[in-house]
Amino acid sequence: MQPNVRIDIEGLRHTGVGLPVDDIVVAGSPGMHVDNASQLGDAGHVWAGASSTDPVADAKFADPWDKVLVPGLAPGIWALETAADSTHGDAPTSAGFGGNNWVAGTGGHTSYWEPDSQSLKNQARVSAGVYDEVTLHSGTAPGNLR
Amino acid sequence: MTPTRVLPLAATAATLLIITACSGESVDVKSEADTTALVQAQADTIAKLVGGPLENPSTGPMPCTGKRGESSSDIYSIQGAYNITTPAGETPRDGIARVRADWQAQGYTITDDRDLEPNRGIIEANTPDGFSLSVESPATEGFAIFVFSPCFTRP
Repeated sequence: MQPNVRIDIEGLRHTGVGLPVDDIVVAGSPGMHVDNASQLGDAGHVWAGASSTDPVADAKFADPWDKVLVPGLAPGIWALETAADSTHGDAPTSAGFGGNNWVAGTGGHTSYWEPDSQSLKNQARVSAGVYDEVTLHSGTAPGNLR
Repeated sequence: MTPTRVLPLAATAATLLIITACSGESVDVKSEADTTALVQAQADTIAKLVGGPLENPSTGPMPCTGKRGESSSDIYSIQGAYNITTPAGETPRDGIARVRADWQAQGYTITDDRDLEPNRGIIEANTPDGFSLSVESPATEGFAIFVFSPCFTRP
């Protein structure tokens, strides 16, 4: 099950009209251009997950020596990528961002919708409003929709 | 065997492993119809344990990546999704308890087992032959059942 509606969060934020959604779910996000989840609305309905091996979600926090340890990627390009990602602000899975940090249980940046994965199950549970079924690293799930 | 002969042997073995992984030969051959029947059989067993008929059945193929990273357009898995209404006079946890006991007796590997309020729960397991099973009760009125087959190659 995948969410069938995708919204350009960044574009909507700039309109100043708020987000007409019940929940915000991000996977492998390097940042959402805000300092904490409450700036997006009810922090209890902001859900962020990331694989522990996803370089995109972790880009802002890459150390200098990481740049020379990526096979096939020139250090200069990696540095530019890291600099670009740092403009997104803190990753929503960072400690202190707030909201709910759901368990992905997948690898890399391209497996968040892998069938039968913990990632996909958790996103489906949020979409269905069955929040207490979501497995969390941190955060507090709100009451279920029904 | 001298070290000078071990190295070429090891290199040959590694090459053979890589060829096997890329060709998909390590994924068993089975038709979609046969795999769907196996998924249905797993769901039927769960329905008997829970104590109600399967409702809203939905089965179909999806892409699948094998345990060794095998992937091609011929490698697939079958997913089955169903609902079951909670039997009269019971709570979802009653059905989940019977499922848990059966799966433990079968030697399945329980991968998730949580109680949720009120009287709800989730239980998931992997079978020795590679099926992934999930029984969860998003509401006290019933269950969502998911069955995933392992990867197979179409004949």
